[in-house]
Amino acid sequence: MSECKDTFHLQSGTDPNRVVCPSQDGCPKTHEEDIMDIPLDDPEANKAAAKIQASFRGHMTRKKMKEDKPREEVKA
Amino acid sequence: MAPKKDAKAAPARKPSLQSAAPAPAPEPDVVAAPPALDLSKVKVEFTPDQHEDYKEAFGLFDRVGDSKVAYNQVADIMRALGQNPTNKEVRKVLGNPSDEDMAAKRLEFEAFLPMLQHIVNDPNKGTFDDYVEGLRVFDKEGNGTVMGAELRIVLGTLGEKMSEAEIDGLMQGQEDENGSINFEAFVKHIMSI
Repeated sequence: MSECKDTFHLQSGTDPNRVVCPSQDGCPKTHEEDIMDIPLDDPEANKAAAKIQASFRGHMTRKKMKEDKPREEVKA
Repeated sequence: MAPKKDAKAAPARKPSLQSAAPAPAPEPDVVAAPPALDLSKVKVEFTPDQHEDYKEAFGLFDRVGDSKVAYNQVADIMRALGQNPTNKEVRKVLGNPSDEDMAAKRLEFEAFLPMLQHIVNDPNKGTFDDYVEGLRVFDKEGNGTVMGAELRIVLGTLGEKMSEAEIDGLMQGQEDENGSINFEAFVKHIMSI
């Protein structure tokens, strides 16, 4: 993964490895430093993430059902 | 259509009805399978109105016309009915099917009901506070916001990884002009539907 060459790359907080790229959309490069901050192996973090993701997926399915409903009623 | 589709536990909620069948003796070089769930012990406690609503929702997912749904649709039906099971929990109530089974096997409504009841009864269901505190971990500045970009990475690399399309759908319109998200407002929004 190559480093972002964005000139506005800043160091955030006291951790010199923590880099924040403000132009998230404009910057296609992956930020290795950010990823190293993510606790990939921590079972508690993964469990918490799975719970949050479950709520997000629930929300999106219900939102989609709401949006699709008028079409369903017409079909029936 | 009256939106009474949320599956709620009956008021007098009994203690967890999970009773695992004894796990098979694990082989030394194989990770023990999670204990099988005994759904016959689950008492289905939905009201007649709920039963009717759930049957209707179930029917919407039947694209074949055999009054059944595919295993891989069960998670979405439960979500449509107001639940937020993890994919792992759904696979567990389905009896830990293989990927082929998930795509090929079909489930009838009466078999679906105890599965739904089990999910509804789950004492570990996520609450508003759970989600907020989960996101607060990523609030580096302690100001109630998380960076959208960081949340995208978390959602795509931890837990039950979300695809880019799923993440885009979720985050649409949520980030402010600085790319930040107020996570309490975000969670309220998520829980409102």
